[in-house]
Amino acid sequence: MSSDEQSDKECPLCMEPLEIDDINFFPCKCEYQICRFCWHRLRTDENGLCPACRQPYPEDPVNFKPLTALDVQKIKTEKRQKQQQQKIKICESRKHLSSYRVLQKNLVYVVGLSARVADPETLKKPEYFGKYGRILKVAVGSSPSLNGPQSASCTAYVTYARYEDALRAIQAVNNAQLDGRIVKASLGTTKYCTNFLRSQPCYKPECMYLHDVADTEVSFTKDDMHLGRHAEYEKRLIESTLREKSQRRRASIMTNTSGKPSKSESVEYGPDSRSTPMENSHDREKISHSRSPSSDKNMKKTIKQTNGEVPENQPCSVANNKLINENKGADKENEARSQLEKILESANDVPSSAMLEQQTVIPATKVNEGIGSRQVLLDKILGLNIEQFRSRLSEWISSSQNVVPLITTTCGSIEKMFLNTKEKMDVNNVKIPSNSNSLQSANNTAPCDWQRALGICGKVDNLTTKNAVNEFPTTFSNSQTKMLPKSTRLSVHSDDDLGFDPISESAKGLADLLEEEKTILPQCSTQNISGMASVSSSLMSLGLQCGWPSMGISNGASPMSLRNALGTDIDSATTTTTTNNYSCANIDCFSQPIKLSSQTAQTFTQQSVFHTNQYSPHPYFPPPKPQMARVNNFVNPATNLAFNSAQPQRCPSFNNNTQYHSNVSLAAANQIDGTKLHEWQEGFRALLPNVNVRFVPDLSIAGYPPSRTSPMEMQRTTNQFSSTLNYDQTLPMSAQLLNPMTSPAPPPVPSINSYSHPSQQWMMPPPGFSYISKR
Amino acid sequence: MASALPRRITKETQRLMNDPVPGISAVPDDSNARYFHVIIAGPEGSPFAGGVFKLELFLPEEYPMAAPKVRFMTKIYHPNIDKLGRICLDILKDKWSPALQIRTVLLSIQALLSAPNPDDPLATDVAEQWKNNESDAIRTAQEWTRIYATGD
Repeated sequence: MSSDEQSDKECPLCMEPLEIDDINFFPCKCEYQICRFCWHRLRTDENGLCPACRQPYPEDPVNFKPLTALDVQKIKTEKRQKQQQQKIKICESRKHLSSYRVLQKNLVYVVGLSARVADPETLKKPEYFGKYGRILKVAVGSSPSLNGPQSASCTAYVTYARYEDALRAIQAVNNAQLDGRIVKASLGTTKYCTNFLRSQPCYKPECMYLHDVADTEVSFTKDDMHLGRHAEYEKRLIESTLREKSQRRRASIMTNTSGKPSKSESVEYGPDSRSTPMENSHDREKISHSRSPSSDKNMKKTIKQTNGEVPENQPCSVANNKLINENKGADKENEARSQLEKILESANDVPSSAMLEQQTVIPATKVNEGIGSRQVLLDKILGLNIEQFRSRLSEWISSSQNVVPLITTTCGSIEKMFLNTKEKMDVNNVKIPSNSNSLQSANNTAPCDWQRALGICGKVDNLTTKNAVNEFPTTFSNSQTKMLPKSTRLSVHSDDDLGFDPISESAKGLADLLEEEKTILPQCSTQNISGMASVSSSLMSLGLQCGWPSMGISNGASPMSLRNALGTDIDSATTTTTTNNYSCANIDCFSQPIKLSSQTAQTFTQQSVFHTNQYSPHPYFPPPKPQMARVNNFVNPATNLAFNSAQPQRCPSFNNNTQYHSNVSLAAANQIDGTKLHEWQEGFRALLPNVNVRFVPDLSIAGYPPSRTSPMEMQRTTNQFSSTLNYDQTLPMSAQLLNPMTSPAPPPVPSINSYSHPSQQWMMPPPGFSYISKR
Repeated sequence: MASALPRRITKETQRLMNDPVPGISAVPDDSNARYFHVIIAGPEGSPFAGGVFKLELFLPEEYPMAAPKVRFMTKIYHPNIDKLGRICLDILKDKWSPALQIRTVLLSIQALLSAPNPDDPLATDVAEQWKNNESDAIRTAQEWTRIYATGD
């Protein structure tokens, strides 16, 4: 069976882990869970009883839910997730190691090599790095040199089998000259293998990266390397090795001290052989051969010196030899002491150690007497001191040189950081244009709104200007349509005012004509009554000429209307009064609105409509009001046959009348209803079938746009023309009515003729005026 | 499973070694993993108290589907155990269940020593004595325990 790590359950019979399918398998009611294999075996090979309750197993399992494909997938995914989590944990535990660099004791990092020797095989030779120990591997690379004049220098990583050899190589090679260049060496660092960090096996046979976790002492981060901690660790290693070497030197010093008696013995033989110099020298040589090589060298030197000095002073040579030996011993001791002191001191105190060395040299010089011997000794001592000083300096420089790879690494890291910052800047730059684009889009939208607003404002302005322009030409067209003999400024304004009054007069005339035609046939007595009314109105006008006050006029008018209403037919009376006296008709209508007939109502509405139209342009022409009053005087005398009366006396009274008139018309306009207006308009159109009549309110009600103002103007012109014709027609009627007593039959005939012949109507005003002149 | 030692036997053996039953020890034989050397101490309050009885236990090929074979190696005066050491216990015969284990079997045997069942005897003479004269039977049992179950 395949074992599942996920399921911890086991079959109690066979102790094997339950499979995924067996987890939900319960073959017995007692829910004693076993694997299907054991279940099958119990049923087929055994007694078929449940091991727990000893009851027979049923044919089918009591509780068995087979897993669906989804469940299987879920379980598998869960397993994978767990495995991945484990791997991630391992990776995370090793992730922090990627930033560490481990100092390798057996790895030497060399800088400043020339191209000639930058070859693994060459560097492995005994002449170069091979002499310090067995080398495992050499890796060579080229890097840009920090020195300007030099073209390029090469670097090398040398891996020794033993770390002691690596340390010795560093001490020897650091600050050494090779092909005219100064070579610097230090311990190298190594990274962790990426496969190791990812917890994967590394398949590279020669992979030199680390595959195990190293000690924290030799693990350094970039910051640590920047601070130079790895260099400090290197110093400690070198110092520890130096201590070991110093111990060895102490042992050698002891051997030297043991060698002193031999030297004294040689000195003792000297005096014995003074008689024969040649024999003495031979004896010394024999003695020297029997001793150590170093002592041989020393004896040779002493022999040479004695040979040189024998001809001059033999006793002095003996003394010099003794002194020289003593001095040498002292020098050796001094060297050992200085070395110990140097070891104890830190690298920073190198100059002070040099001073100490110089101080130790002074007593030796004093002791020496011979010039040649002095020079030789001084050279030796100074040479040693200089070498040691150089080694110290080289160590110090090497410690400072160790910073160089740090600098390179820091430069590299800085470059990387700079590149990262550049990338970030690029990202920011990429973002900034998008922001600017959004700003531009915002700006674009803002101007669009502004432009739209401006457009709307412009349109509104255009509309207002168009409306103004439309209204302005109408007034001019109204003025142009008028054709009167006088052409002064007053006449111009009067023409504007006359433009509306004649229309009302024409409407009244038409209504009168229709009523007269109807009344002539059924009723003849009404004509007489209408004639009496006209006579009374003329008398009233004459009273005005006499100079009655305005209040008297108004009082007289009201009783007049009341009498007419009581005594005569309302329709005919009102029509005649309207034709003869404009103000009286208005008063009558205002006083008795209920008793008005349909025709009078239509006439009244027409008047109100025209008045409203008349008042609309007033905001543009406020001054013409008094002139309008004069115009009314001009019209009323014509109708009342009192044209030649004095104007100054009549101005105040007519002004009052006109104000009253305007008030009445405005009130009437407020009372008008849409239905009545419509009925009136239909009636008016029926009266004039041949003429296309259209009213401004109708157009406004219809909702025509301002662009249709031009056809309105044309229609208005037509209306005014027709109204002018009607106006001319009314004058002869009034004239003829003045003579009704003589013959009632002739009046309708001339009216018909005047209507059929427009040209004759234009010739009628002179007769009217002639009648006035006759009177 | 048939060829190699079953997982169950291995696990039971480990558990017996790591977590032994008080008064009972079962050690597998060196040469045969299916053969166990068992020692059961006489339960307190019974005529077999103070005695140490040796048994042998063998797991057959069909185990756990078949009951293990257990036999007393020490002489004992018990109505359900004959002279040859064979044990008359229901769970070792027809009442065996695969759910039972070695430790449960040994505990049952230890319980049988405390509560003999003369009605289902394996040694008729002992059973008769146990029925007719229980005090003498108990005395005899104690004597046998002292004679055979001690001093090993």
